[in-house]
Amino acid sequence: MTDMLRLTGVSAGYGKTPVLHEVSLSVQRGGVTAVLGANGAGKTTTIRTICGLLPATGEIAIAGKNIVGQTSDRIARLGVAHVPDNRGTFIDLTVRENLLLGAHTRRDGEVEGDIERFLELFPRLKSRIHQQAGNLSGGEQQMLALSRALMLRPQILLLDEPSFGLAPKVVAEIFELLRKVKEEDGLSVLLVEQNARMALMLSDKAYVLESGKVVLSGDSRDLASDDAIRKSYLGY
Amino acid sequence: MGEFLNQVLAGVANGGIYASLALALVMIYQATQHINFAQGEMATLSTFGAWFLFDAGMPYWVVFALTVFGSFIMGALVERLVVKPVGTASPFAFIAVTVGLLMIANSASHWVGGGDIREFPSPFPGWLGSRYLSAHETGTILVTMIVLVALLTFLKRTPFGLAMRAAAQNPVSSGFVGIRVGLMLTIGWGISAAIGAIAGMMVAPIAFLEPNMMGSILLYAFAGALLGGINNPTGAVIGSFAVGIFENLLGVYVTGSELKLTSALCLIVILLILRPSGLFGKAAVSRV
Repeated sequence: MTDMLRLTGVSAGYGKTPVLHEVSLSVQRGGVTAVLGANGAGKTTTIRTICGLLPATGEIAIAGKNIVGQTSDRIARLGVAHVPDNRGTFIDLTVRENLLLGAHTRRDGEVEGDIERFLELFPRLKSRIHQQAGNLSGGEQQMLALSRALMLRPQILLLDEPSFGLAPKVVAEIFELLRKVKEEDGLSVLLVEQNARMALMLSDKAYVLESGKVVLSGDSRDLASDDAIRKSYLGY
Repeated sequence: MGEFLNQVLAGVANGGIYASLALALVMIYQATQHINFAQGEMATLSTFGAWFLFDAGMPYWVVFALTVFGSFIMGALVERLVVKPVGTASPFAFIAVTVGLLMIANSASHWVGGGDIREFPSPFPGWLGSRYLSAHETGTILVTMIVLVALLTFLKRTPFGLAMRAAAQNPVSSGFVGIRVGLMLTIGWGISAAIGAIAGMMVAPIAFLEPNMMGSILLYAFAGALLGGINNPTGAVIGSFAVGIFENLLGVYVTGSELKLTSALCLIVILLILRPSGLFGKAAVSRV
């Protein structure tokens, strides 16, 4: 079976400055792949490249279809949802409008049902449904960003540091939802995280980036149980 | 007292004109977060187009529909051919382009119209008129209200309108949810030019059709839109009526008619300093 997402020898960067060097990685259908690494290792650049924000060489395949050179809206319409590092909230629009925008590409009649579903999962969003999204707290905005991305009914979800800047309790809540959605919907996820411990618990496969190169990869369980690797690469 | 009421109502009539053009400004702002300084001159050019269709003997509402549709195409083409290539790199580039468009549209109007002052028909039957407002003034206010309701319905109640607002506010995130941002801008320019054309056809029977017809009206419309809130269609209409009344009363009782335009300009400056989001506009909020 083809992988949901496969990067083969992908190099990319900003202007003339290369950041990623020949990165290859994959996400299985229904699988969760974690990309770990320190600040500046190229994690966010990897996700931005997949979304079509940066010019790249090499091959990026969604379910076997090469998407290098496509615009980000077209990539979204292929079923790639993205929670960017700044959360990508439409701050002047209401919570409900943000959720509706997530379903922009859909033409089925189940959008309202999906909104209900995420409001049940995140009751804090429910009480603020008609408020401007810019008024939400950081944790609520992350919940909204995740719900908005899932409203696309994606084939694959790209998550950029969902735990960043959030209280541990909120992080646990968000990872719990991810686990639930993964199991219920068979969603594939590419998860970029600095919080290696959380990421390894959720993922089945992991890659460690350093200066834009993959320096280590393997089964998440193996990486987490190897003390030497944990100390030298993952920092916990 | 009767005289005062008359002056207020004359202001309301002017406000109806300003409001129709203010809606075009609001539309382009909703789609691009910018002001199109060429809005008035593009509307004049559309109105010249309409005049030639009348001249060819077509009935009013056919001409109206053709002009609105043709102006939509013109606005969309302007975005694709002129605005888009310049890009969104700098707001100054956008301003320079729309000021350039203003001059081009004005010259084009001179070229097709030859500077003659032309009469332009009003479609409204006499029974719409009353002691206080002429049939055309009442009709203009009605048309403005219809455009307002249509625009509000489009922006607030349709997925397409929502996508358009999203694309203007946050183009990068809009791409992530699959919105074709470029297409939204093109259509936004089209709709805005179409609304401008309606404004032009409402102005022309009062002001006579000539290339500089919309010049000062754009300024009043801008003041009205700023007063009510440039990102709020209802506010912009209310603001435009307020500006219409304000400038008329000021002109009659205080400054004399020579300083009317100056007072509108002063209002713009004061608003930009004191309350840039307008009376009813939403100020941007953010919390990190």
